[in-house]
Amino acid sequence: MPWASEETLNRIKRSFRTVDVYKSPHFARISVENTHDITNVLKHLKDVEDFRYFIDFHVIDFPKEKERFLGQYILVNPYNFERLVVKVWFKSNKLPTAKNIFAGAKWAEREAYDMFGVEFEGHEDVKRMFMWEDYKHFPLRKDFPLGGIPEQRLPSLTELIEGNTLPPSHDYELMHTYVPTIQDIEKTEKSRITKRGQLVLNWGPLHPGTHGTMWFLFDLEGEHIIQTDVILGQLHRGMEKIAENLHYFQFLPYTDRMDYLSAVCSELSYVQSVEKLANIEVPLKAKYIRTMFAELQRINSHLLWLGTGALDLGALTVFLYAFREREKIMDLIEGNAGFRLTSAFLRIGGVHYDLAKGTLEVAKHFVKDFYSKLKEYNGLLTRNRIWLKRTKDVGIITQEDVYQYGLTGPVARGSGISYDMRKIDPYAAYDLVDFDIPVGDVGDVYDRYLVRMEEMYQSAKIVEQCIEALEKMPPNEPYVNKKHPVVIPPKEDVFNDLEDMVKSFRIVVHGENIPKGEIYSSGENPRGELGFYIHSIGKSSPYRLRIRSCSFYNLSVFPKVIEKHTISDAVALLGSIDPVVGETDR
Amino acid sequence: MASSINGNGFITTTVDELLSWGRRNALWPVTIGLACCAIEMMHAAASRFDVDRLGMIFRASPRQADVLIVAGTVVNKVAPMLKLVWDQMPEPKWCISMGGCASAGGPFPTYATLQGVDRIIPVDVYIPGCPPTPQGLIYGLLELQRKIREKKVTRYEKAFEEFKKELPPEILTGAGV
Amino acid sequence: MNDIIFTGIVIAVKILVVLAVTLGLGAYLTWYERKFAGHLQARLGPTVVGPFGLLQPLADGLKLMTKAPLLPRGIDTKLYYMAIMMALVPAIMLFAVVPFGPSFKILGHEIKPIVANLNIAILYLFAMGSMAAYGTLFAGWASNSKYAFIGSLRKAALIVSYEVVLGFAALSVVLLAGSMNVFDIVDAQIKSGIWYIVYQPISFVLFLFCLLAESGRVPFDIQEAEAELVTGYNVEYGGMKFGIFPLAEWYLNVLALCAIMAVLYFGGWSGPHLFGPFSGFIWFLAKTFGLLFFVLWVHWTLPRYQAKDVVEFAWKYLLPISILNLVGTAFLIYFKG
Repeated sequence: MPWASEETLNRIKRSFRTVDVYKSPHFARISVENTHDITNVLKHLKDVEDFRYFIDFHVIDFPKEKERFLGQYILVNPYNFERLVVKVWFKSNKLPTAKNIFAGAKWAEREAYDMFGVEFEGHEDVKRMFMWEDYKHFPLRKDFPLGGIPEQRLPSLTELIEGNTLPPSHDYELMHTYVPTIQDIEKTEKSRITKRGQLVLNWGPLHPGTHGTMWFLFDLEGEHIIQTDVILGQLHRGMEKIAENLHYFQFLPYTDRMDYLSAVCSELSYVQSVEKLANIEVPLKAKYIRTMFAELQRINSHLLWLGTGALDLGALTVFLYAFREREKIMDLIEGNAGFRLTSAFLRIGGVHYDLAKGTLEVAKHFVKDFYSKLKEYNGLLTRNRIWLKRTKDVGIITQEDVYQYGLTGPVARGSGISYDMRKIDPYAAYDLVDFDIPVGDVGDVYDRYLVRMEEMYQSAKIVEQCIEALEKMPPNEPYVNKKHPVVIPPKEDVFNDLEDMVKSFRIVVHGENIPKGEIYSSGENPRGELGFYIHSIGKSSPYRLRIRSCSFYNLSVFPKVIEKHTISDAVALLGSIDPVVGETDR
Repeated sequence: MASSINGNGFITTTVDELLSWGRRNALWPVTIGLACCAIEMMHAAASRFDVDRLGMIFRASPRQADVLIVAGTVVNKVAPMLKLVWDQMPEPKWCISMGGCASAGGPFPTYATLQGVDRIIPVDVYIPGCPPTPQGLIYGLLELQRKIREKKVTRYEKAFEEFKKELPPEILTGAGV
Repeated sequence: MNDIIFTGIVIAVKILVVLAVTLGLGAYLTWYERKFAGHLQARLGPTVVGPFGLLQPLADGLKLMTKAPLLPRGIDTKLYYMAIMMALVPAIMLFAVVPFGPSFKILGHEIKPIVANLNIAILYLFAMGSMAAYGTLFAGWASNSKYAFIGSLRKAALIVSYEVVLGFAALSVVLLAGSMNVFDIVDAQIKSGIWYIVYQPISFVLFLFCLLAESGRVPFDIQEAEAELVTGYNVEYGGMKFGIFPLAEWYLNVLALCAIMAVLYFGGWSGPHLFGPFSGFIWFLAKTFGLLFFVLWVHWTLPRYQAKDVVEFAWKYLLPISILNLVGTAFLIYFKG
């Protein structure tokens, strides 16, 4: 059961007089009233109450309150999988650091400093996470505009070269936010690492080997790495700030573009947080359709992991075979949603369209074919001597690392911890289908490889079961819960029925009125636990939307594990952690 | 059509033709994938929509490439690095801006996004879409090949030189970049 | 006098033929590799430029030659240019000791289709192979870039280790044949009627590994592992200066070493007389291209080793095996006569 029980909360209240507890079916929190008590509370929670699995830390800005910033920790008990939120107000923008209790808090606190400008006692010399070192503003504060502060003229070079036309050839704003120079970037780079070895290699931002624009600095002694640092922020697009300015249903396409390899899974996590907040019940057919597509996207994402992982290690052909399978899944998604990659297929309250004719036959055929292709990939790599030499006993992640850094997904399962949100807090149709969770032993790259290969097989089984269930359903089952006041009705009803048209118009133009409250809900992405914390004050856009991104925390264990390994091991380890930059940077 | 050039000798025209044939049939892109459009670029290079048929090999080093396909959102922080990559490519070079984010900022009008890569790099072909399908990317590449054929490479470089003389220097290096 | 002129003309013609064929063949090997890789990966290679994509290497070459010349900042200019020469020249000079077929008669003179019939051909082979390492080393040092530097250091370690193994492997065949002259080796195989691969399978496998290592092909292509070192030692080379490196390393080196392997282990041009007077040449070409096919197949299938594993593999496993093989062969020859 996901949230902490009444007994646990009462026990905590008895140990600490100055905390305030609250529980509802979708939320359980304790509020610490004295700021300097927070270290003791966290230590007690970790050591005595066993809430040792660190999930998230974030900040909310309330400019009208006395102390402006509110910090929130999300912790999980890994033995009975209970979750708890700990709230504490900052005192004159300062808070004692939690990085000595949970190592994963280091990156979370850096992000909080970058976005809000708060300080942490005990975490000296905190550096910015996403923006460059000399950036003057703190973006997520409520007084900072979404478009930034346009301060320089930046005309379009195409217009200058082809000639200025009046009216202009394409419509754009001339004034632009400040673009950093190479010197700013170099200053950022130099401030991150003090050289102790022979040379500092930039495993740079624009590189074919990193899975996107991540920037690693390796301090090398020969071929061995003494220390590493990771510079993120090369794809920071400001999604959390965008969410504060849009209606809930308008934010849906942005969740696609975070983890662009498995778009439907991210959408599913978001859509179901809003549904829990507004108490929307989703019809059964929509649940099965969502599950089927989420599992197909999981296969999609793992195939890309396999292709690029093998490509980085030199097996050039597996990449193309994996993409051949991906094309088939993309055809399925394109036939149903209209888009191949970032399809906004789900809606709050259901799915966008009914299943297209023939989808189930194509999916059945795909699954049958997929089992034999999985055998082929296993034959190519699993027992290959060179593959074993490259991946066995490389990058071992222990269970303590998993708890401290907040690792989830196949990275945690490879180290032996069976933390899977589909089983802990079943959503969509996961409690109606039958599947297993593969768990590894040692926690090296080879284990994570085996875990993901087995997960692909399990996902295919889930898809088969969903197809069976969908075939048995009568043909005109509803796929959107259009009776709920907050849900936009499906298009065919909007064009044919007057009341639905009026409702659709009202919601699209003025936004929904989601009730006041807060919620944290997460789903199982192929990479880990993708969580959404929504704080709503009753308006049509969220007051604060926090995206707990799995790739961000998964990547934070990289500098620790890679010490004393070689560069080639770094490539293999990064492939097995499988981060997606759209999600780490949001 | 090849002979109707303004007053060029026959020999120059044929050499131009030959060079532009060579250049447009062996376009080597740099593998700079920033975000979601990079996945569609990988799909365009995979088995179904193979761009190797057109002669394109993806080279990892910008010094060995001709075409910079900017696939994905360009963030303010990355802009100077991208400009550095562009400067490292030897002439003749072209730039394709793939997708909505690279063309004009896409759906991200925020404090951190560069609103269009054409503010720092001169773009030759814009491909709309979010992301454009691989068929769209191949169409954009074919349009670039048509541009190389029609603009007669030496003419194009001379035109660029002329325009460069008229622009103030801070525009050329990109303001602050 | 007549003799000297005739010999001079013959040598000049041989050199020209070898140069033209190898450079042309090197360019078309790129087409062959792309088509081969394409079909292995369930797609077609180049098809648009000319029928079956046959004009693709011409377009590539034309484009590479007309790129603007690049001189990055901070390079060592002399070494930068010398690296290209040091990569290309030994690769071409390897072809000087490759025999293309049996000797034949023209105008009463016997001509052997080999540019230089050295008595120490195998030793010359090792020398040229080692010199090819200089190209990579100079390129890496002169480029003033950390990636290039690491790539060239890896390649240096690789070549040093695998040259030793190559020496011992080829020496076993030389012991069997009794001479380092390539014609004598082929004649010995034709006379005894059995190809040396039957007598020396271990030596064949070792030579194959060394071929993959010397020419920098997967699973030993650590000097330009793309995910780690972008393109390794040639990261700062553009245009045709870049084009020379894969041509020399990946294609010319491999072709020459495959030809030598066909001579040492598969009997050179020996084979049944099915094609009339040219059958020797055709058999030789068939064997060389068969080995080349196998090398390409390995390249596109297997993953690559780590740098430290590659070097460890050579010194800890391959070297003892090759020495044992050599000693074993020596004993067998001594006792069997």
